Amino acid sequence: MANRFGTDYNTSGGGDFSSPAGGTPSGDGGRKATDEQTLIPVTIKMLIEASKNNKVLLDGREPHQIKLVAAITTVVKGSTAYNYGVEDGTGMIEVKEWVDEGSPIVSKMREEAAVEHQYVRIIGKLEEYDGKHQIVAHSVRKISSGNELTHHFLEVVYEGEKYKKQDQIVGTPSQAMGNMNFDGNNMQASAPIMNSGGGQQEGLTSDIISFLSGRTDEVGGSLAEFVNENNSKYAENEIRQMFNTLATDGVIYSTIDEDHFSCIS
Amino acid sequence: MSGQFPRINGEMVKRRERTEGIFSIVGEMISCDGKHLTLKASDGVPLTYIIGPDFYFEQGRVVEIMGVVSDSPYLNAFVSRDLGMDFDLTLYNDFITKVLPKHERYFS
Repeated sequence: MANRFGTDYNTSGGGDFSSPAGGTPSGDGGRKATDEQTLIPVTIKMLIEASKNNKVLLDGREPHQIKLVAAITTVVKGSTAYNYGVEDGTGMIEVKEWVDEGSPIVSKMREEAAVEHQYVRIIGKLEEYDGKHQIVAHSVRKISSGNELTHHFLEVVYEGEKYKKQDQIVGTPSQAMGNMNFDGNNMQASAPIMNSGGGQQEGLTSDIISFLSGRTDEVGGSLAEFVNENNSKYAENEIRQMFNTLATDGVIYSTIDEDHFSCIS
Repeated sequence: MSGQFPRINGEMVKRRERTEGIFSIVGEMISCDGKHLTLKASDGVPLTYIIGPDFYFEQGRVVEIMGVVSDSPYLNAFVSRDLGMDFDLTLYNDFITKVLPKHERYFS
């Protein structure tokens, strides 16, 4: 096994976004709005699934660009483009990086990265060429530290779960309601939504839900009103914290302002 | 599918968990006699690999070894990938034991 150890990890991978030397990918329908120009950390498995789903990730995110950390398995250096095969344990995909000889620094970084069995950070887009999906990369750079591998995987999970939770709060009731039982007019949680400590917390949760369920108009129930009515049972900061937790977990949502809430139903 | 392999640690190797095919071990190089490499996996368990003559050894450096179990007490190493001297093995071990199993939809 030939490996080039002892390489200097002090050089940063950088974020060179030089344009490809040639070729415009097919199917690109114009520049996206600024807030739609996302950069999403992914694994190869997610990209392969997206390639079968009109380049949309299975959770619904549409990456404008992707970030991937993977190991190079093959390198073919052409005069206009470098072609790589990369793997990350979840799958394998091909990457094309157009060669722009304008900058010697960029060329040097490209050569440092283009080594078999080296982990690299790839920024690019998922595109289709000749019926095959591949990444067209703006940047393929050697990782600046081995820890980028772990951090990238954690980032993939974090961003995915954050997106999923955001979707729940905005109003996908099925997941939030998954833990709820309904018994006539009394709504009770069959299990605590979050890790609450003891019966006191469960009682507060139940009282909040009962309070808000009784407010059927669009405005919902007032947090301040709940505090006033229940200040003999619960401390105000405890109540406020629980409202916040229930909103984060997608059980309730704020209506006209930060003081008014309704149950997701 | 190619490019897919499990990321495991020393305990999983000992239990022969997910070792049916090629698997990845990340660990710190401890010693090498030219034919065998001793690696301390991310959970601290030492593993010994049979390596080739051109294997680059540097004590303390962290590598990822792609390998398989063999009929001998040693593992067979196919590919090694450098991960440097400052790799956080504890964080990586936490990732593969606590995060990976709970979020398989991103990885397998």
